[in-house]
Order: sequence, then structure tokens, then C-alpha cells
Amino acid sequence: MATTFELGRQEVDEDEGMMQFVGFGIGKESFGVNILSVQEIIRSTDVTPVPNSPSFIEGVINLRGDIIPVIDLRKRLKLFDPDKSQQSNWILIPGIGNRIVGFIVDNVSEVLKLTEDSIAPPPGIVIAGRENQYIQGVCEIGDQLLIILDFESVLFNEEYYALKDMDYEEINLIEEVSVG
Amino acid sequence: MANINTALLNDFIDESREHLDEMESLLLQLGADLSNLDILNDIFRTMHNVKGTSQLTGLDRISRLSHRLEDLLDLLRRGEKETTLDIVDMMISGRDRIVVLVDELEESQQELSTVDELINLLNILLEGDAADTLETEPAISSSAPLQEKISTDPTFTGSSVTNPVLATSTEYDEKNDEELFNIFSDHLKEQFSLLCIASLQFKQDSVNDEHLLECSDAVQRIKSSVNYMGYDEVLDFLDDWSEKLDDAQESLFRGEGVPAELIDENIDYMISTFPQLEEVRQAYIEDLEDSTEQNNDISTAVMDIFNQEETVEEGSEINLALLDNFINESSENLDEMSALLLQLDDGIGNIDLLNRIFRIIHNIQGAAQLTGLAQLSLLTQRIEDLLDLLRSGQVLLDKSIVELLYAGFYQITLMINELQESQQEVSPAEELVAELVFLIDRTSSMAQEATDTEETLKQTLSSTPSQMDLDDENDHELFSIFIEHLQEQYTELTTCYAGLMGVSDEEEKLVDCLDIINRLYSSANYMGYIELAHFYEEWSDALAKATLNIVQGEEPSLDFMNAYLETLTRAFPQLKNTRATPAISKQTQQTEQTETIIEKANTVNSAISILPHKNQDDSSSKALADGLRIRLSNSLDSSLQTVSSSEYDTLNEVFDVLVSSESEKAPMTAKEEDPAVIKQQKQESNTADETAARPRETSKKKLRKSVRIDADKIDTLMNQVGELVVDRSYFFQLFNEMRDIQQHFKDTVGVDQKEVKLIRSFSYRLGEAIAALGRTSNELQEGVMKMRMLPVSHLFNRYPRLVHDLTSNIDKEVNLILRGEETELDRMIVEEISDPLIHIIRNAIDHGIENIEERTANDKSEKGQLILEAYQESNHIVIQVTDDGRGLNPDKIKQKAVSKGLYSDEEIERLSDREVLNLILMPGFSTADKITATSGRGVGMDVVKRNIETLNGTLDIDSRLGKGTQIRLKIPLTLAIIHALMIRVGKDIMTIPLTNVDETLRISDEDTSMVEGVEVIYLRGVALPVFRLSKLFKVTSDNDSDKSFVVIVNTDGQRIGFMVDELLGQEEVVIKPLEDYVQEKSGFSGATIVGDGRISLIIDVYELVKMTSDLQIRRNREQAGIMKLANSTLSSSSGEMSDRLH
Repeated sequence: MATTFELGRQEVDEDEGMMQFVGFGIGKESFGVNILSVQEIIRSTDVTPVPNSPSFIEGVINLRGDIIPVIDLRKRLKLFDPDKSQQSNWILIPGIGNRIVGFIVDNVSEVLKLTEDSIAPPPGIVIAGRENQYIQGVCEIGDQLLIILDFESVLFNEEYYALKDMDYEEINLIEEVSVG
Repeated sequence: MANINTALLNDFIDESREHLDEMESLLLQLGADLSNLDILNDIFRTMHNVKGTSQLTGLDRISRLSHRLEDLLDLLRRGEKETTLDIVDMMISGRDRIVVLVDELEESQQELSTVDELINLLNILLEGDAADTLETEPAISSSAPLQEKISTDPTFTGSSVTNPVLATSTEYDEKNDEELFNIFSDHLKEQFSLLCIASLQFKQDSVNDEHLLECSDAVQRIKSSVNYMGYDEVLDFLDDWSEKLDDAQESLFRGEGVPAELIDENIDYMISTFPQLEEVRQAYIEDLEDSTEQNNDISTAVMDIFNQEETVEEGSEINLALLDNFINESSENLDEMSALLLQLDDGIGNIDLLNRIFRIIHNIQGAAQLTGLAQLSLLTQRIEDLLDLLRSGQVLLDKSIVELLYAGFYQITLMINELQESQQEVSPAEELVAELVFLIDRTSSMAQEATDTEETLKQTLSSTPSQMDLDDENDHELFSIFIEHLQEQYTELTTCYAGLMGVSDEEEKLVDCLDIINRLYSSANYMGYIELAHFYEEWSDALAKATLNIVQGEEPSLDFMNAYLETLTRAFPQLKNTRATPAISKQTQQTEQTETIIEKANTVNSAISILPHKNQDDSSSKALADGLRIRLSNSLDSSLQTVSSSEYDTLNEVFDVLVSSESEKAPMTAKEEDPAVIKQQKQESNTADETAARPRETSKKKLRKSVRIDADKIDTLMNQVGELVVDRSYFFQLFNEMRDIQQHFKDTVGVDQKEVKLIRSFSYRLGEAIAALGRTSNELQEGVMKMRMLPVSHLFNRYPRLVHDLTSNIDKEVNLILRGEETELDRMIVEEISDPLIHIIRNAIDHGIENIEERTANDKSEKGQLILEAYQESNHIVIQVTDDGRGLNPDKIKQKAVSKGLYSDEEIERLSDREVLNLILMPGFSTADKITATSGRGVGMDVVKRNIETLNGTLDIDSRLGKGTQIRLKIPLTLAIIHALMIRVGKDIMTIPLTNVDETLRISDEDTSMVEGVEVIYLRGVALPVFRLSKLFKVTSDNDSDKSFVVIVNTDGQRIGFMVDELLGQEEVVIKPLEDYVQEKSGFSGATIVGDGRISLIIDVYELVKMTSDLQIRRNREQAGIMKLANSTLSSSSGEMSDRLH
């Protein structure tokens, strides 16, 4: 699975040292992912919730006959935005190996061309915890900071495995707590 | 091993699996009906197929084993041996070995298991039989004293190389002209001495190709002289021997070992037959001892090598002090060598690389010698020799040689590893050494001989003997025999030669020619025609060279053949008549071949007709005929290569007929039958092309036309069809909406009647179209589903063997009856329920069916009955296993349940009989100590039950004490599509598999009552817990009326109600998997897409019930504040629950 991404990263426009990113936003934050890692972007459809599934799983959608889970990136990245009145509009679908997952985001901006040099590694303190390893780097565009994400790590880091092993009772309890 | 044709391998594996399966069931049938010839014939056919394909694929072991088995079957078929259970068992184990080999081939493309011990067993069986037959046969004239000898002959019992028809030479002495016999015995001695040398060489543990060739030459020569003398028994024996030698040669060529006793044993026989030979052998043994002592050459340069090896071995102890050093050093060397070999593979012909490899090998060789590693140094020495030849360009480096180098490299690595482990040279290197020596010898001799071939040829031709000189000198009668023989051989030779020009596989042909010339040589030798013998010798030399040339891949000039043939014709004008044959042009080749076939068949005929006069011994005449047949079919084999192989099969059958008629005791009838046979042959040959083009009619029986398709492709197609089904329901929904709109226009909008009519007619046509789409998609779905279907016989056919094995060692007899084998079942399901069924059957036999004693005591038939039955019941397949054994004892089960603390006394009494029986499916019940011998079922039955449930199937047990047990599996036809009940909870549509649904109810709020926090309804006097799905799934219910629907589900023998908002109806749904991290512990087993594209989750009833009861326990625990150990199993928790309910 890693190879998909590595290949993507390597396929840099050699002449100019440029990389292309899909920009998207959640709340006020701007994010980018390598364009080569994105399979498709769809308008959000009906999401069927799956009871008792991990909390960051919003539910499942019907993608041309395949049932794929969608993850609310806002919840996953723990961006608690009070202004969540606007329902999530877009679902980004990266091609992660043969697992297909959708990520719900607020909006999708244009394709960004960035030089490799302009991307700085994430500040050490941010990725100190293992959880945040999905941040590949940061890039300044104008007065805004673009956070470059690695979708694969977003889903498949240790946290996911920990969740997987968690007893459903605990999940229930968590949900009960959060609901109550 | 290297000869395996990988391109054919996969086909072979698939095909032979089918044959082997068929064979298994046939063998088991045979076990039940020992005298059934039809079954035997079928087994023979399948075995023959396996043999044929394995030979084609180059699988030595399988083909050897199947060949022996086929021999055995042939004996049985012809009634020469009685079919016994032991023999059937033997064949079953033979078949099993082939299965093992096929498995190995599939995994590693290699035959790993050995077959030799089985082959030996078979040999003993076969030959013991030959003796038996002989002894029981009525004595015919002179063979009577002979038989006495046989039965008293101690040497032949139990030996693998046997010839029962051995006679002492004294008998021959009397029968034959003394003078002739003297010549014969001189000749015999001469040839025998050659054999002795070879045998001694064998004893020194090294066999190479040349030795074997020498031996087989010598044997051939003895054979022809014996043939001359009319010693049929000896001839028979020699035939056998030379065949064995050929086999040995072949296996040697493949790099396998050859048993050293091969020659020895035979020599012993020869001596016992002709005592004169003993002195010859003694002389040679002494001779050899001398020479070994002096470390001299014995006779050939090859011998040198073996002596050397011996001295090295004797004179060297492994020097342990040096060993460590050696291992380290050579490991380094080998690493380098491996890299170099890889490069060599790429850049063939790089001298520099060769030099470096040479250096490394030289290093290793030196070190090995120093350390005293005889085997290793010998091997490296040979490799060095080969490399030297390569360097000097005498041998061209090609793939095969690189392979050989690799083999050498691996051998060295292996040996060094062994040294490291055990300080000993364990693996023998002889095979490889022999191969290397063979190659080197061949090359060096080639280099010399190639130059002077032509010269020799010229010389020989000029010194052609004239027949005139010969004629007068000899006895007239003998001469006519000689001429007859000559003519015979000549015909064969010309055929061979003719075949040579057209056929690509020249080597084989040349070998055939060589054989014939050798035969001619010995007969000439016999007659004392020294010049002629000399001429033959030259000829055979020339041929041998040509053969070598071909082996080397060069284009040989075969003109000399013609020259020789002409000379021969000149010397013997009698041959002119037969001479017509060699003038074959390629166009007429086909017809010529036919003629020669006829001629050969004639030969067989005449041989048969001569035999009774010479010797009345019937069995030996048969043996001779057999020998002829082998020869005949050999040459046929090669001469008809252009002809289809199917025709060859028919020819084989013809010969079968021939031989079987020969084996009848009146050879004359055989002769009478022959012309018809020949006619048939002729027709066959003429229509060869047509035959090839026509599909083989004989194999039509049972052959289904089939295409092998990757299972994944079918699964993909299945998914697509599933999509189509979903789309169809989408259309149907749109159609309904359309009608709503139509109604709306009519009622509310008030559109004009005319306009509405337009819409109505449109919606009507839309409805038609959708119905048509529905029909087609249904058929398509069915069709694809059928593609995945296999008849249950695929599954059932595995079990006769199981039953056979299970009952073979105990005093139970079980009659397995299979019913409804043609019922079809999804491929996946067949795989999934195979193991559970094994479990059930094993239980039935182990615990259900009583032993014979008990059965007779209970007035039952001795044989227990086990019925395996399959039938379809709407969308399900039912598989029933019924036995007439002792049945389950409910009292004992209850007792056990109470003693295990699963139930209290009162509880257990309340359980119905059915529920009691179902207790054996509980996990705790099976793993702990078994109940008793009488009702000890339930070993792993919980696993069985679980397996069946994952397939959305159900398991029922019915049992009557003393009468038997029936286990009934009900499984959906396919895994991908299920019948389901659609329900609504809040906004969500959910799906419950119909297999789990017992019934649906509509209840009002008053019907429920609360018992310890659980809602309970009373249904027909039984309390059922009811859970609201909206609560379980935390969705808001929109049901505000006081009436609600309850779906009663059944899992694991537990009935629970789920309260839902609405029942939407039954539907066929396509199961789509959920990602495992979504699905896990969620209570859903998958999802499906409903008509409008929405997703409906499919409830995993088993999991959900388990979750709810766990949840319940936790709540109770919290409420009561008691820290009770949570019992996670459903069984116990539900037990507790029902406890509380009451």
C-alpha cells in the first residue's frame, strides 16, 4: 500500500520540481494531499450510519454499487468546529491499495502546484505523538498555512489498530458518554 | 527431474486429479465387488490415462508407479490373478502416493516422495504371481521337469529380478546339437566376461552410462545367440534383463541412481543356468582384485576414475583440524562462484568468467583434497575437467551445461553444509559425477572420432565380405535359419532407416538401427562369418557416432546407412526382394509404413507358429511373443510419430488382442485371427489423418465438455449480475413512482383525460419493459449462479474413502449409501461444508454405529447403514446424514448438562427433547471429557454448528435411542444472494436473513411486561425476551402508536424477539461485504443496496443476540452492584437469562 504513495511522491515534475496537490478545507483550516493519491472526489451522498462501528466512521455510502465506509475527517483530525451548521459537502476518495475509504471534507479548492522546496517538514512538537504522523509537511501560501496530509496514515496508523482491538462494550460506553 | 515439461504440468495436475478421484471411487467399488470386470476395466483405463499423461509430462516417478499398477491391473483383468482386498488396498495406497506426488508437483513442480518401495512391493506381488500361475498351469510335455526346478529354486523367491522359467543347461545340452552348443557356450563366455567386468564396476559403487550401454549390448548379444539356440526360457529372462537395463540407463540419464545389484543378480542366474560361466566370473574377480591392488587400469579409462575414487576414499580420513578452515574458505569461494554463475547465465561464452570459475573450483578442489574430502574433491575435479573443456572450446557452453554447473555448485554447497553440521560427507555426489564424466567422455571421444568417421567408412565399404565365401562352409539348415533371421532384421532395419529420413527424433531411430545391427552381428558371429561380423561392427560404430552427433545437436550425415545397406544387399542377393522398402520417397512413406507394419505382424505370426514346434512350453511362447510385441511397438512408436497418438492407442489395443489370443493355449487360433487384425491395422494407418482429425470416440463416455475458468472471474461476473438485480429493482421503484405521478396528475392537478391517457400508456409500456428486464436478469442470475454450482457428488465422493478408512481397523461394518448426488451446490459451500461433514460422519461411525457384536445382539443387521443424502428444498440444499446406530440418549445428555453445571435439575426437566439433543452443540459439551461411550457424540459439534451458521445455514438433530440419528444441514443455495426480511427502524432499512426468522408478530404495548429490565412477551405460553432494535442501534424510532412489530429470530436454539418499526417485506438481496473494521462487533454481517440505491445493513443475528445478552449481563451486574464474572458464551448467558425469566 505504501508504494502507491511513494510512487506518487516520486512522480514529481522533474523539470520544475513541482508537485501537485488537491487543496481542501475543513472549517478554517486548509489541507492538501498529493493529487496522485486521490482516486476521485464526489459530492456527498446519503451516508448510512453503522451502529457500533468505530466513532470516526461516519457510516457507509454506495459508490456505484460498492459499499465503502466514510470517515469524517473533521472528527478524525479532532477539529472541533463550533460552526458545523453547514453539512459536509464533499467526499474525497483516495486510492489506498484495495481498501477504498471516503473522507468527508467541507470544501474542495483548486489544484495547487507547489515546489518541493516550499514544503517544510512539520514542526517537531506537532508530530511528537504518534497520532499525528499523518502530517507530511506544511507549506505557506500567502498568509495561510497549508497542511499536507498522508491519507494512508490517517486511516492506518496505530490508532486504527488500537480501535480495532477495542471491545465493542467500550465503544458503547464511549458513545453513551458522548451521547449523554 | 529436470525433464518435467512445465508447460504441460498444470494440465497434467488438473487432469490427473480428475482421474485419481474417479479411480478412488472405482477402487472402493471394487473393494465391495471384487469380481467386477467392468470396474477393473474402468480402473485400468484411468490408470492408463494417468500413466500416459505423466509420461508425456516427463514425470518419472508417477509414470513408473502407474506403470506397475497398470501391470497389476492387467493381470487382474485377464483373470491371471485373483482380486483380493489386499490387492485393492495395495492399489489404493499406490493411488494415494500418486496423489501425494501430484500435490507436490502443484506446490513445488517436483516429485519429492519416493515410489520405490511401492514399486518393489508391486514387483513382488507381480512376480510372485507369475510363479503362481506357472505352478498351477497344467504341465505341457517337457516343461514338467522344468517346473520342479522352479518350485525348488531358492534364488527366485522374493527377489525382485526373477525369471521363473529357469532351466539348467544340462537340459539344453541334451536337446541340442553338441557342436553348436560349444560354439554357443564360447560366445556366451565371451559376452559373459564383459558382463562380469561391468558387474564388478557396479560393485565399486559407480555406475555410468557407458557401463550400462556395454551391459545391454552384451545382453543383447547373448540374447540373439540364445534365440538361435532356441532356449526360449533363457531368452525370456534376457528380455527382461535388457528391459531393466534400458530402464536403468534412462534413469541414470536423468541423474538418478541405479541399483548396483541389477547386474549381479542376473549374473547369478546365468551362472546357475550355465555352470560353465562360474569359472569365467571367478577369473574376472581375481583379475579385478589384482588390478585394484596395483591400482592399475582394468580395461577402460573410465575404470580409472572409479579406482581413483576408491583409493581416495580408502586412503583418506577427513582431517578435522583443517575442516573448519576449509568450510570457511570454500563458503567464500562459493559465494563468488554463485555470482559468477549468474553472470555466466547472461553472458554465455565469456572466457574470462570461465577462467574465474575454474580458479575457484580449483581452489576448492585443492582444499578438499588436502582436507581429505574424497567425494567433494572428486566432484570438483570433474567440474574442473568440464570447465577445462569449455575453456578450450571443445565443448560449447549452452544452457544445459550451465545447468550442470549449477547442479555442481548446489551439490558442493550442500556437501559443505553437511560438513559443517556433521563433519561428514553425507550426500553422495556420484550421480552428478557420473553425469559429468559422461559428458566429458562423450565430448573427448567425439572430438577424435568425428574426424576419422568418413575414412573408416570408406575402408569398410571396400572390404565388404562376399557371400560366396560363406555359403559353402556351413551347414545348410543353419544357414537357412540365418538367412531367415537376416531377412527379418533387414526388413526392420530398412523400415527404421526409412523412418529416419522423415522423422525429427532421429536419435531414437538410430538406437533402433543400432539394436538391429547388433543382432545381426551376433548371428553372423554365430555362423562364424568373421568378415561379415566385422562389417557389422563397423556399421554399428558408424551408427553410434551418428547417434552421438545427434545427441550433440549436430546434423549427422546418414548417407553411410545407404551405402551399408547396399553392400549388404550385394552380399546377400536374397535380400533384394525386401529391398523394395528402402527406396522410400517421402510422399509414399505412409503406405510403406503400413506395409512394414503388416510385415512385422507377419513376423509375430511366424514366430508364433514356429514356437510350438520348437518347444511346447506355452508360457514361454507367450513370453517370446511379448518380447516381439515390445520390439514391434517400439519401432511402431517411432515410425508412426507423424501419425496421431490416438492411432497408436488403437494399435496398442490391437496388440492387446494379439497377445491375449496368444495366451490362449492354441497358438493356431491366434494365427487365424491375425489377418483380420492386420487388415484393421492397414485401415488404421491409411486413415490415420482422418482418425487424428476426428474426436476420439472411445473417450466420449463420461466426458463432459468443460472450460476451466478462474473462480475470481466468475465471482466478478456474479457481482455484476448482482448489480443488475439491484438496478432492476430501482427501475421497478421508478415505475411505481411513475404511477403515483400519473395518479397525482389525474387527481390533484386535474390534467385532461387525454393527456393522462398518454401518460398511462407510457407507464404501461414502461411496466412491460421492466418486466422483460426482470425476466432476463433473473435468468442471467440463475445462469451465473449455476456456473458456480457443482454437483454434490464432488463432495460426497470424498466420503466413501473416509468410511473405508474409519472402518478398516475396527470390527464395524458400514454400508455407505449416497443419494441425490446430482443435486447442485455452490462451489464455495462445497468447500465450506466438507470438513463439518467429515466430522459428522466420523461421529456417526465412531459413536453411532455399534460394532457387529452389539448389532447382532440388538437384532440389527451386521452391517451398519449410513445414508448421505442431498436434496433441494426451495432455495436451500438439505444434506442429511442418517445412521441406524444406537442413537443419542437424552437422559445421559441431561445428566451431563447438570453435572457440568449448565442447568439445574428443574431447568433440565423443562427442556423439550429437541432442546436436549441440541445441547450437544454447545461448546462446553464437546471439548471436555466425552459423555460416555454410548452417547459420546458432540466432539466438536459446536464447531460444525458454527461453520454451518456462517453459511447462513441451520443444523438439526433428530435421534431415537436405539434406532439411529439424523443430522440435517440446511444450507442456502448460494452465498452471494440471500432471502431476507426487510424491516425499518427509524429512517434506516435493515435486513434480517430469512433463515433466522421464525415468525413475525404485531403486538401492542400491553402485551409486554418487564422482567429485570428486559421486555418480555408471552407467546403461546413461553416467555420471550424482546429487544427494541432502535435502542440497540441508538436510532430514534418514529413509531408513536402503541402497536409495533416483532420479529422472532432463532439462533443457536435461542428465540429472541426484535421490535421494529415496520415490516417492509421479503426480498432477495445481494450481500456486499463491509470493511472488517466497520463490521467487527457491530452486529452486522454485511450490507445490501436496495432499489433506490440506499444501503441496508444486514443483521448478523447470531452476533447481535450475543451482544445483547452480554450487554444485559453487564447492566444486571451494574444494577445489582455485584461483581460477577462475566460469562461470555451465549449458552451460559442465555441460560441465566431464561433462569431469570421464569
